[in-house]
Amino acid sequence: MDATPSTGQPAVLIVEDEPGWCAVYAELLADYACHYAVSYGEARGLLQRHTFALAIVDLHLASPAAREENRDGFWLLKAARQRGVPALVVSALGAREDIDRAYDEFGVFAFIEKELFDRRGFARTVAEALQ
Amino acid sequence: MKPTPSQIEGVGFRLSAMHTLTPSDSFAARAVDWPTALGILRDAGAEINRLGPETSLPEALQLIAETAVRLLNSDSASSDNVRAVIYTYDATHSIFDPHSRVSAGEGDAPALGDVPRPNGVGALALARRARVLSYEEDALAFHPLKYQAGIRTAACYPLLVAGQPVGALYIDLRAARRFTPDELLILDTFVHLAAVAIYNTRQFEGLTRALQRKVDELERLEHAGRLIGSRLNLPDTLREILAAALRLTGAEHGSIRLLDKAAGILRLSAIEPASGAAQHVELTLDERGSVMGWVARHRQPARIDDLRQPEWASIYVPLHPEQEMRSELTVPLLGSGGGPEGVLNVESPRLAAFDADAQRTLQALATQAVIALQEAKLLEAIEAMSGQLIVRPPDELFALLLQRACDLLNVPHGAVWEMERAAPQTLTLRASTGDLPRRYQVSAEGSLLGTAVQTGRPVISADMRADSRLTRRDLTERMGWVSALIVPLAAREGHPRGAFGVYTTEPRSFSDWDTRLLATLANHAAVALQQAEALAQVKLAEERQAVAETFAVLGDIAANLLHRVNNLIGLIPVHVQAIGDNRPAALEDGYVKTRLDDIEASARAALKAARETMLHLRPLRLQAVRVNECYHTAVERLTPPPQVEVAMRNLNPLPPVYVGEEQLRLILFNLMENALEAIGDQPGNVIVSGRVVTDALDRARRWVEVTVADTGPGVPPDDRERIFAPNFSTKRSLKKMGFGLWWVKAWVQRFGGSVALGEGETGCSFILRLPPAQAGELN
Repeated sequence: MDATPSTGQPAVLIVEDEPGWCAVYAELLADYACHYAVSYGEARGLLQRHTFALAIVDLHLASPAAREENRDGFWLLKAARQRGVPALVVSALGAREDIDRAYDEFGVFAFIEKELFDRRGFARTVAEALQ
Repeated sequence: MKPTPSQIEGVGFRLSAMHTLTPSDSFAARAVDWPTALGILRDAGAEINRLGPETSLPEALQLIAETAVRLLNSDSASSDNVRAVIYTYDATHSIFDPHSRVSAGEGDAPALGDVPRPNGVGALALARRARVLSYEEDALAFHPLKYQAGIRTAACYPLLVAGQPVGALYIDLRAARRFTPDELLILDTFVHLAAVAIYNTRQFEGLTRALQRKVDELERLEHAGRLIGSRLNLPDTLREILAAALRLTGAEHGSIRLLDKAAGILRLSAIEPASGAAQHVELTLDERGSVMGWVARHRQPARIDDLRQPEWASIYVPLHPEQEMRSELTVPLLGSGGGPEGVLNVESPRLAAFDADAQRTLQALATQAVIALQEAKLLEAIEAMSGQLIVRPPDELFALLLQRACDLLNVPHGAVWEMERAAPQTLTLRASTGDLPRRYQVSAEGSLLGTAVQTGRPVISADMRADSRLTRRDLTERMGWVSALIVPLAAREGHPRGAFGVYTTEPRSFSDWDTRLLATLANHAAVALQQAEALAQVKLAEERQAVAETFAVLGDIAANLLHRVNNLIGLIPVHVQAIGDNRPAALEDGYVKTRLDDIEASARAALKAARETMLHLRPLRLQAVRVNECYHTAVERLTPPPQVEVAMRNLNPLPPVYVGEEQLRLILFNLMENALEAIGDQPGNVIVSGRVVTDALDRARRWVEVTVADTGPGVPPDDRERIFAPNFSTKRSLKKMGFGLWWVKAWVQRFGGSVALGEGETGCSFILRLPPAQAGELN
């Protein structure tokens, strides 16, 4: 699958395990071809099988695979970067060291804290990332 | 006509009456061979002159008697059968010594029974201080045995030295004749020589006897000392001392009582014979309560020849009720500084059983005994201390050590001074006997204590009042201290840790033994300090570990909670926004809009509260941090009232510290905020200052010390110990957002540092010790 499928919509990978947030993304990203993954394993598979124009990643998933460290989102950022997929982090925890690391090590496009989430701001950022 | 013994008995025997001198007895017929006689006199003089300490009295007397005989026999043709007899005189008892008889010229039939009689010729000669001649005395009874022995002429010379009698010389002749004037002249000359010889020999003998007695006494004491010194514990030592006392004085009964200084009681500690109903009465130091009490009180021996004398009978406490004692010898056991440690006593059922020699011996033994007792007590103290080192907390050990030191050294006060880790030039009172102010401080520089600490040697002040090294006089004056003995407390590597001092309220000189004893106890105190240090380190490490583990767990929980809160509550504002975006008509209803705005605001407030609360539990990220920068950002959050000044001093030059930056900022903020709360409406100031200090124990280690000091009312003494405890809350320990001094302590410990409440006359200060960052760690 290509980053821009036949519908002409750019493909976006959304890694999020919280249904409420998935609903928000579905509404805000209705113009894009959204692929949802609720775990890192699933996300890695999608990254491997498809081509995405953008990955929106929650750094701390409460999935079984992430139970111990709960920071495996960084591995996913690494995988996305290796495939040249720009990444946008949406995180419930905005620790400074996480933010620094995401930008410095993985070159993420944006780091958005859920506590300060703004619908219009988010939509703008996604559009910027896909330009 | 020869008288029979029956005639002689009872009437005496008058030589002159039985013998009528005839012309043939004329002395003119007898001429002295002068050259020979003078030669004998010369030789006798030379020989007598040679008599030395090795000559016994009988030998000297024999020489005199033989010389006398030779003098009268100088005429070789003489057939007078001269004999000489000497008896010595005991001036003390005013009698001739019957056993001292020595004779010459008697042949095979000595008249051994001619002991001088009380009213005999010898007594007369001594009384007259002049010779008595048989033929000149009409009414004098010479000893009848002399006549029986065939004596017909007799002379008795008193032997006098400086007018004092030393004996009598009897010159007897079998010939019935008068002594010639020459003979009498020779004898008159000779007896002076003889008297001096006897006197000298007696003196020599007396000296030799006294010397021998001393030698014996010393040998016996030495033996006793060896035996006593070989005993390892106090009861054995006491038993051996008493056994030695009995051996040395020949007594069979005795006891030792040791003074219980706290109770002022002489307690029975050893008794002989041990069997029987011994009197375990506790005697007081009252001089009218017992002989032993008198001795201990007066620190003087008591030698009582007759215990029935009224002054002693009234206070004598029987040793064994079943056996009546007649005489007693009791000596005090005087310890360090001459103070009484107890009494040593021997008793006898005989009157006057103990003489001056016995008293001297017992006093000498008492001196040895005290040393042995002190050694035994010291050993016992060390043994007891060694057993306690592991199990007792340092302050209890100090109390025990001080009590032992005071007891062993006979001093009223003692104190343990500890060098301040943060300020090695200051010594702080760590423990003491009596009512001394807690945490009293003395500068080490030039002071008595400082001299001991800095030189590592004992310091003695005979009179502290006149000692220029006494830098703080208030305590000494308050306690009435006069003399002091101070020894250093050294750690294992020899680094000074403090000092151990004992103090008297009377002038006192301290001996080498006192110094050694205190040094031994001080070593234990030093070990206790090290122990305390090690325990504190272990405790600190355990606390750090526990805090780290707690924080790790809480951190996980907090992170998960915050994650969940942000995920769930964070959706609320997003959904409210969505309503506005997708159903703008709904917001035209003012009520709906207001409520939605409220919902969004509450949700955002909840998110903020959760974030701030969880901030304390965030994982710690240690890094090189500048204290002045943290201070500035912390101060920005403060709102001090206008009458309170908040300032920093010396923070800019400080090297960076290796801590969690956000946590240090919170620590400074909270300490300053607490200080402002404490100052309240009053004018005052809060000063945050810094300096670099060297660890007192580890000279290679440095700390960055940051002090937050205020002019508020200070921390009440009762709160000082628990101010850092969890859940402790005062005005000083705010519980805003659950933040108290426990958190400050927990964080500083996680940095590897420490926090302490400072000492001061006014206000309050918190002293943070933070680890400096290594060079190059600061970004």
